[in-house]
Amino acid sequence: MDPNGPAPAAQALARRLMAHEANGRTAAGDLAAAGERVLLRLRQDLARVLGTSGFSALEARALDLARRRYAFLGTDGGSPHFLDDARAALAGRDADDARDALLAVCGHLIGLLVTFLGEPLTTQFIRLAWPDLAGEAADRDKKETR
Amino acid sequence: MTERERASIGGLATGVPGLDQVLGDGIPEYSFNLVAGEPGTGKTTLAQQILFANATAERPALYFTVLGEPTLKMLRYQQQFSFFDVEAVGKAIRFVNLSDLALEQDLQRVLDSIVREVEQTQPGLVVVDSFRTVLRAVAADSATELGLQSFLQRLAIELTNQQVTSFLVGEYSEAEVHGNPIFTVADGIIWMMQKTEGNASVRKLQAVKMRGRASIPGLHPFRIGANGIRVFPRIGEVPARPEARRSTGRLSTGIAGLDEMLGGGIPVGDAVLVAGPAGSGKTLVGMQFIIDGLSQGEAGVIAMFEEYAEEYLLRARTLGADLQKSLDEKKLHLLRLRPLDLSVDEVLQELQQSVLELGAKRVVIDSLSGFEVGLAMTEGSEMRQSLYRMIATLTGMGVTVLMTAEVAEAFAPPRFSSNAVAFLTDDIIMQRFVELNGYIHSVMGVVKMRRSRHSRALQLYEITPQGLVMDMVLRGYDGIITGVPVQRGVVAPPAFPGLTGRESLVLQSLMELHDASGEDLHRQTGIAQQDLTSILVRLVAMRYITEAPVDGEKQYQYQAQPRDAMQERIG
Repeated sequence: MDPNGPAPAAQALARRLMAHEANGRTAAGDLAAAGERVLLRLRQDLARVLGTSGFSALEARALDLARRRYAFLGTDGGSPHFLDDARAALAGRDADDARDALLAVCGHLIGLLVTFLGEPLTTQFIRLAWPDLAGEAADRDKKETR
Repeated sequence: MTERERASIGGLATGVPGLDQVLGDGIPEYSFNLVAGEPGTGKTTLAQQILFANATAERPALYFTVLGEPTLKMLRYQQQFSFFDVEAVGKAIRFVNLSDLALEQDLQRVLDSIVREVEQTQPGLVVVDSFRTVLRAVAADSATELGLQSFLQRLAIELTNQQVTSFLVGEYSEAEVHGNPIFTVADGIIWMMQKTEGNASVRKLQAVKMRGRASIPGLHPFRIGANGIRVFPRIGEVPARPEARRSTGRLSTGIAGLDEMLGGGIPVGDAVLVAGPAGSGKTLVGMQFIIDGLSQGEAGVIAMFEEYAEEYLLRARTLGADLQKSLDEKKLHLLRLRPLDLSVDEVLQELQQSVLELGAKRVVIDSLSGFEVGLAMTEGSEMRQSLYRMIATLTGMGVTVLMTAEVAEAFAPPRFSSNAVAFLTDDIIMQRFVELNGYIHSVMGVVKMRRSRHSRALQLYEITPQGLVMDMVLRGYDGIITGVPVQRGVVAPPAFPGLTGRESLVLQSLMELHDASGEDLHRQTGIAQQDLTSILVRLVAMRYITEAPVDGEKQYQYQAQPRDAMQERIG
């Protein structure tokens, strides 16, 4: 386990959300783009509940934690949205790096939500943000059972 | 206007135990309410408890947060309560953060945002927390046309028109009530407070205003526990005890002999005080009273303020009673009440609930002294009035209440309690320690019984492994209740048998002087020489003193006497 990485469960959930957003595409570039969409959707739903400034503080902390492993994410550029800074930092990096770094940011963000809100409430918010995710998981479980 | 023509105001059960009773009959539907109080008094918890109890996916609730406590923290802490249903979040209860708008100090946008969300969601309930921060923004926004009054009026109208029952949560101090338009516009005001004195604190709430409801006036204690808020409605006016409901029967104390002293047992529905010093067996009387009831199929409730339940059960077991079994069979409730921050209403509520749950006929409060110590200091000053309410309420339910109270003076005339409980009780049983022939004995007497004849005798008793056992009536003594009785008809033996008063005086003087001449004793006692000479002759003859010539003058000395020699002299 990477000591600088997100908690395994949070990392797994982040990976699942990115895969869901990538809609079956597995190329590193597609997954990196999916990672951005995951972060945007989390912001869209949770900033409504936690407030823009409240959620921004969590994002900033998640980015800070991810930088320990992916130093190229750089320092806080002061952009209104941290993703703008992240995008600038990721420009020119290869797709694998971008995918991994965004996965770490998503994982840390989910990990922070779990830390503060607990796993059940975090899961509830994620279910509300991706209502089709639960059905998809159920379908996958059915297929695996067969 | 006839009853039928009047608008009916439906009630919304709050889901907060005890609160509906305080408010009259829950929260009036579509009312615009203020939950006010100082920070940390439980306002947010109350609002959320009401929402979680009422919101459904079909008729959801909107919870607007405006600055104040960060929502992340609020959700973190509120989910610790059992009422917080995670599954309801985002479905039945939707949290909307308006902090950014409030920070912009644009109240029009705050109001528009609330109205828009309400129109879209069609909620049954709305909470704005903390409303105070909105009002602070109003103050900053005073240059605009949207004044405070106008803002409130519009908010109230919009929410009511949308058939919403709303709660504005705000931090206010009591000093801010006057002249504040929110207190005028609100249909209901629930004021929450926390009073701290010494190391104890008590939370109380008040339905300051509740349009359309006959709320119970006064301050009502409440607790915040794992299940959220629980209110203990203060019973206002206690009706006179319904005599008709009181049976003419009697209940056995479970102590043979004591029942006879009480004229056949304790009259049903009476309040009995057992008062005595520590170790006199008061708890045992209560225990035997409960055990006797259980043996006859009567459920009982014991409120303990001193002893631990385990110890109590163990003591009962030595009497051959399996109280654990009675607890398991729901025939007995043992209320171990948390000391130091109790309120009388809380205790009364617990007792009432237990009595109703079990259909209990007997209640033991052990002890009033412990109860008094356990009360928060703010409550202590109202102890007498509170006890009156408690006793009247319980006995009004037809329950027979036995209370114990410690009397501090073990060997002095007793005072039954510092709060004149004696006045409030129907019957008083007194226990005393008495010293007889160098041994400590226990006696019991019935001091008072309303409407009933009873024994006036003081009866010895013993505490045995089988319980408290009555012995014979203590006869032939006076001053028993002083603790140091004197046997009647026996005169105390004189200090100097056979001597007159003047002879005793001379002897005592000689004892003080050790040896003295007749002249010395004359000066000491003031007795004339002639009389003194005859007294000294007699004292010598009775061998109380000796005489010896010294330098031609008689010197006298006291001669210690064995007791039998004295007896011989008495003849």
